[in-house]
Amino acid sequence: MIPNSLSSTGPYAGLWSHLKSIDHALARVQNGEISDLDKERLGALIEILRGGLSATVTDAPETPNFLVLANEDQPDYRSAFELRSVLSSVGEFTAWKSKSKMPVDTKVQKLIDALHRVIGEKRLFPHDLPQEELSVLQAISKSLLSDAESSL
Amino acid sequence: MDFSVDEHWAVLSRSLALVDKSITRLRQIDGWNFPTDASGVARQLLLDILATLAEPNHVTPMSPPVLFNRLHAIIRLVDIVELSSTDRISWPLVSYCDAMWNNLFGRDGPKIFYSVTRDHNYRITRFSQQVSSYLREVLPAAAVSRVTKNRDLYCLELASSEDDNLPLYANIGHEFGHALFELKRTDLDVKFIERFQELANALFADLRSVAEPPIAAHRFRLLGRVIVRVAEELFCDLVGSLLMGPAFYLSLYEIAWGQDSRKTFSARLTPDGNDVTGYPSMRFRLHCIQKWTNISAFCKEAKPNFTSHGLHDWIDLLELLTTVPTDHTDDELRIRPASAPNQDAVPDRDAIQKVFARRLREIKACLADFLADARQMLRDTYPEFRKPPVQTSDITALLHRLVNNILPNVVPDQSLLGKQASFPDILNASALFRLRILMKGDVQRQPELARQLSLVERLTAKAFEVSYMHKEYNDWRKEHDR
Repeated sequence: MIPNSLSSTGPYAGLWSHLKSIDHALARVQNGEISDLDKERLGALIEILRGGLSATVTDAPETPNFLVLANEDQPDYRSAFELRSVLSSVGEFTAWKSKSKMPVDTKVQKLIDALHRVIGEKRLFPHDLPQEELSVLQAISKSLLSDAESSL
Repeated sequence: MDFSVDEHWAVLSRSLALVDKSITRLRQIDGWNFPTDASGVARQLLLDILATLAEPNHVTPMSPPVLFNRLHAIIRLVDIVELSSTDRISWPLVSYCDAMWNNLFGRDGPKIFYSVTRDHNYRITRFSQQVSSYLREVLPAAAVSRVTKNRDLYCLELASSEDDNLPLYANIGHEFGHALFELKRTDLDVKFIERFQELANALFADLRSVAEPPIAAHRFRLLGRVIVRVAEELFCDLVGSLLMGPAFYLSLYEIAWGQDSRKTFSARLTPDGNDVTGYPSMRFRLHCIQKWTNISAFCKEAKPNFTSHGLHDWIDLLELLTTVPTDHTDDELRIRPASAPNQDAVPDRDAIQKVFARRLREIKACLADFLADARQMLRDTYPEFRKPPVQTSDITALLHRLVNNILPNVVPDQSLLGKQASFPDILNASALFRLRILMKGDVQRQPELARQLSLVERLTAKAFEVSYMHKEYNDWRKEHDR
């Protein structure tokens, strides 16, 4: 059988679609196009970055919420990959801000802030988007996508 | 033209052609064979979704490969609606299901439509929510809400094989339990937290003793999800028991036949944490259902009833019911981790399994308390849960009819016509009759065995039909005589 990723269904297909749509939104935004769908996909990327980062935050609550009253209308892919490990393998991320020796958490927070700026953008054709951060994010997204595709 | 630039146009063309093909398929379905009108609602929902996907303002921002992939998921839903157009779905069964559903959810609540599956099982899904989940990567949330608004729709897939279907009917109550769990989720969450908070602190402390807080917190969330899913399955067993009585107990036990893993709680971790599954062990489930259906009292009450109906040879069947193995003291948990790409999945699984094993007795105690609260909540909310679903005397009377190859559709009483038998009444009598054939049948004489099993299935199916028409007539008469 020849694997046909595009027509694959099941739990890993959902992960792949999730990441592929984020990757597509990043590419569009770098080309100066932003739609409501693009903003929502970038919001999903923020959740991935935030969720993955929680593994490195040392101020976890004494006892987290057991019931996980999560919004089950949105997927929760935090368990799907170990973000810190992925980030360390993405050259564009490790090289970015390397001169200032910025910690990983701080760099990720800057990327999240950049995404918030893009999502908050109201102009139809904005021209001063954070291209450097978007380029790093695209590299991260491609790395995650490559891992997900291998699971299909 | 250049593939390096224009490949996505080809994918988009392919996707839009698939949208059009799916629309055509849906339009061509013969609605005349829909078991209920709700299938038409499902069809229209999919048609509206597909039309929205093809709108130019929505096509522009979406990723063509993602659209193509999501369409393949949506096509499976088209298949379900197509399979809904069938004469293989028993209309009395569906009519009884609809009556049960309306009692639980009301005319203004979520709707349900019926389809068939090749699996030898029944399965309920929240169809409209599944549709929404397939669209979030290709349509903005506002567009999805616009299409799915006021169309909360479930689908119950019934085993398409007409053979050996009888024991599965009792599982309908369990499946409806899933929808009820979602409807009552807010109230149930409050009770869950009340019962589990203290244990939750202990579980987190256990996880924290072997990992740093952030990793412990992540594993704690996963463990919490598994336990919630286990609680949901037991809640559904509770609903199944309260709706169907001993027939559900027998049905679940029959599903366990041949399995080696009856003492295993099982869970599966998935890439999407929301899709984590968790199932209690069969032994624990049967232990709980035995209490809820009051099997001991049923057997005790039935003995004199059997005697008075001349069913002396059937009393050993009642003794048989009390021998169902329900000892769950050495249960364990097995978790299947999500595989790639997360390399931490296996360590997470191992840590969670260890903690669960260590605290299993306490977890079961909290589950039992939670389910007692849930049962009270169901009793407070729904009149049908305040009394047993069946009476021993009625089941005995119907069993007596089956023994004499008479339709089990009427319970004799002082009146000329007798009392119309209810769906659970017929189901329970048939379940007992069928069980005796299986336990006492001569395996050397297969044609005779097959004939007897076929006979009980046909008598039961006809009894559902006749008693349903009897019920409809009575309701019409009551209305007419006002």
